[in-house]
Amino acid sequence: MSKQLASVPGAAEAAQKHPEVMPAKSGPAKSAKGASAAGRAGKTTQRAFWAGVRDAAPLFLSGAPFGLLFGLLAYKVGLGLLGGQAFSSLIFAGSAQFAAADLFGKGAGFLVIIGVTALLNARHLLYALDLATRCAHWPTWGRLVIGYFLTDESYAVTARRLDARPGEPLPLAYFAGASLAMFVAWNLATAVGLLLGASGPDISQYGFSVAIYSAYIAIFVPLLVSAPRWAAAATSLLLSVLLRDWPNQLGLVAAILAGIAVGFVCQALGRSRLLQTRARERRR
Amino acid sequence: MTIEIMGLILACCLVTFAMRGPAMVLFSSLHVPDFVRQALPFVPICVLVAITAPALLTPNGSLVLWPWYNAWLSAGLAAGLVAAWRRDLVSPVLAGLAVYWLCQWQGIG
Repeated sequence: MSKQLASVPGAAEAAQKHPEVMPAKSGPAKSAKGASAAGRAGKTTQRAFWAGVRDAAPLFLSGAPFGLLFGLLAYKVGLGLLGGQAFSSLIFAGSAQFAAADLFGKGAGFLVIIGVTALLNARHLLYALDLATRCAHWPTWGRLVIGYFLTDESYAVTARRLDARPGEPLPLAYFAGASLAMFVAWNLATAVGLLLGASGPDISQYGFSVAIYSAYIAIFVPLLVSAPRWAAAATSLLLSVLLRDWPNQLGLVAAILAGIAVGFVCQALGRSRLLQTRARERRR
Repeated sequence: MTIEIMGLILACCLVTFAMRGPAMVLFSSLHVPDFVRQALPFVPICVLVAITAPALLTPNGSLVLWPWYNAWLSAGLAAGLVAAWRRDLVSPVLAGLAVYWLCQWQGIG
């Protein structure tokens, strides 16, 4: 499959080098010069789009099992075929979907589910923050539409490209390719999972919830790189266990907010101590 | 699909979209307060820990802190160790599942 995709940019390159051999398809009514310029812009866009798809391929292949897992979970907690699919196409946010479906299954209050979804997706603010400064040349509609498809994966792919080519503006088409590929793959995988859940035997006995929690662990363990982050994690671990019997899973929300607060305060204290030592050294 | 589920999905959809699309538009012109920037990295850690911890530590409603009595905790610890060692998503999941199945086979609840 990747070979096939790779041939598309190759063809586009050839077309750019020899426009007289491979005439542009678009714009027959325009003057020859205008047509070739428009054709070239179209080819560049196309090339960027497929480059995005190609770069995202390893990620959507490793993401597919989780899409399938989500389909199984969604069916098991009673979201239904349509509901499960709507989760993947309308919310389209890996871990938040799992958390929301999981909480729904545990009978959590709707405000709690929505709040946890918002908190889990708050990291997209970081991505948006990073991308917005580097994509200031995109049209507003483009940023709005593409923002809908912004995920961990499409951000990771895009950030890697930006690092590899500093200074070069990021083509909108590249981001579109990476995120649309993820979207299609995620939804297909969800559909397969839903159908499996609906037709097959009860898979929950094989511990597929263990797979979901292991995936959560795999996401947060690499983030534990500083003392304040460990403090935040320890706080929310302790409180989430202690407050687990609060109604509507409200203890979960309390544990999350307390963890964030503790982490933030620890970081601020550490920073002020650092500033103090620096000032003392300067005085000497 | 009931009305409630539909409403839930739409609300989650709106909340998620608000964090992405409009944020991309606003952030190029708007100043984001420093404390928001500094607090954001803690959010995913705390959310995921708070969801995972009760599930692994209280598998049947009550606290079981010893891994050799708790298959879920053993699986989680295995996943954590592998996650600290390898930076991909799939191998911690496989490790967690493997340990869980092993525990089940050994009769650990």
